[in-house]
Parts: sequence; C-alpha cells; structure tokens
Amino acid sequence: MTIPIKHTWPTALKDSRYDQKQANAGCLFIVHPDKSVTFYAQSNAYTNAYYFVQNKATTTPTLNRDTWLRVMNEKKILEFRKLSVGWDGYNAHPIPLTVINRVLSVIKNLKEQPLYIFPSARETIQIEYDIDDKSLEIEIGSDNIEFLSVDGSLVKEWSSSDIKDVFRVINEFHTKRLVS
Amino acid sequence: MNPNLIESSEVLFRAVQEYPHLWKGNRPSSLIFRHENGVSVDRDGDRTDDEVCDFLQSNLSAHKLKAIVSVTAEQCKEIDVLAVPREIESNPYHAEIHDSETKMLISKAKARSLAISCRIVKNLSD
Repeated sequence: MTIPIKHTWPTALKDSRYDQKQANAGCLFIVHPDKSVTFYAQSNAYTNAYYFVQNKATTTPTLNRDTWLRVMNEKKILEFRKLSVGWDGYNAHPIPLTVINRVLSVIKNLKEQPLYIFPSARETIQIEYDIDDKSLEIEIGSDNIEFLSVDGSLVKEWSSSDIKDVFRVINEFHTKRLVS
Repeated sequence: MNPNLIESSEVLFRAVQEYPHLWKGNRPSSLIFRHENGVSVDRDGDRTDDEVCDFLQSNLSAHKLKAIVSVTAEQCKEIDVLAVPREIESNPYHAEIHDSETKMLISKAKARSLAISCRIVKNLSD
C-alpha cells in the first residue's frame, strides 16, 4: 500500500542530477506546484530509512515494481514542463502541456511501463520498449502518434490519431513476447 | 571542404545534451536525429576529433553535454538519408541531415538506424 507523505523540501533537491541519484537509490520525490513534496520509496530500499530519519518521518511508503516505475515515469514526464526553447543545444521546441497531459494519461493507464521516455525536439514525447531483438517506439504529439516496430529484420512504421492504438500496440507487443 | 557538396569521406558530428537524458544503454535515442527541419550537424572540415569536439563544446557552452557522436557521410548514404551543406555565419562547418531531397524530417526507421550506427566520439559524462 502506498502512503504518500507531504512536507516541504530544500530547493537543492530539485536539481535534476540529484533526482537521478535518488531514483537510482530507490527513492523518489515529486515536487508539486504548491512546493510540497511527495516522497516515495521502493520496497525494501535501504535508503528509505536514511531519508526518513533525515526528515523525521515515521512511516515508510512502499511501492511494488510496476507502481514504482509508473510513479518514476510520471515524475519524468512532469519534468519536461521545464524544457525551454533550444533545450537540446540546437533548436528544440518546448513540450506543450497538452502533450505532457496526453502522455501522463497514457502512463497512468499502462500495465507495462516503458523503461525509456524521452522528450523530442518536435513537441512530442517518445516511449520505447526493447525486448531481445524487438523494439517499439511510440512518439506522441498533440494530435498525432507515430509508431515504429522492429522485430528482427522486420521494420514497420505508421501513424495514427487514436490514442487507443497506443494501448493496443503495446499490449500486442508484450503479448507476442509472452507467446513466442 | 567543398561548401556545396559533402563528400562520402566526411564525418558529421552531433552534440547530445546531458539533460534531459536521451540515452539508451550505450547509444543515444533515435530522437536526436528527429528534427522537423533536418538535423543540425558539424562537418569535420579536415579537423581532428578533438578539434571538432572543442569547437562544439565551445559553441554549446551554455549546455551541459553528455556526449558527442558522429556518423560518416558514407553511412548516411547507406541509410538513405541526405547530408546537405548549410554553412551559417557563426559556423562554417554547419550542415544538416535530411530524410531525402523532398523531406527534411528523418523517418523513424532511418533515425533509429542512425542512432544505432553512430560512433561515440567523446563521452562527457561525469
């Protein structure tokens, strides 16, 4: 059971490199617009105790792997709000809020969480799955979705405007893995 | 360096920023090659790898970089993308990679091929 705890947190912890370290350590902080912070910890993470002792918290919320991945992915997507023009050093566009919300709604309802989520320079967010020699890339924009599926030497590329296709394609990708 | 033509022997360099992370394992995501108006790259211009990297790092000093990667013009030909010279005032080495003569955005499949075949010239991670 997940028990989020809210409390104020030092500004220094909002640094992205620190975010990566805490994620690697099995801990996660989500900074909300009201400056409060929700703390999450992966089950049995050794560092739970450290962070909680530091903050005089008394309860350790734990998440199973799938929920943990989902929460991490949601946090990552929310971070994309901070990207400004030229964030890639070239001419990348910021990610529109409509795209962020669209991808968040996908992630919240996905059973198989992607291990890779990247912003693109063209106002889209891409989620990627890799299993053995199979890959799936789904690039979600405000009104278009582009797919790339690779299965050995078989490469297929197509697009859609229906968000339901995202769930269908991801489900097919993982179902084929289970039966092959 | 021919200002009107990129020779097969040339090498094209691209910097990859550290944040947000666009890296999968030991290679960049295909997204670094997906730009609406083609992907900006720097031609080697008879410079050494170190000279190109120094130039890119200096030009992009406002950004913390994760790595500098490269593809050869020959690889571009094999993947069927088009390397186009695009000299600009601030950068005589500037070029772009397009999907084809009529389309600037590189297709997802070709972008993935570029990401898989690119060479990591310099890893700038901590």
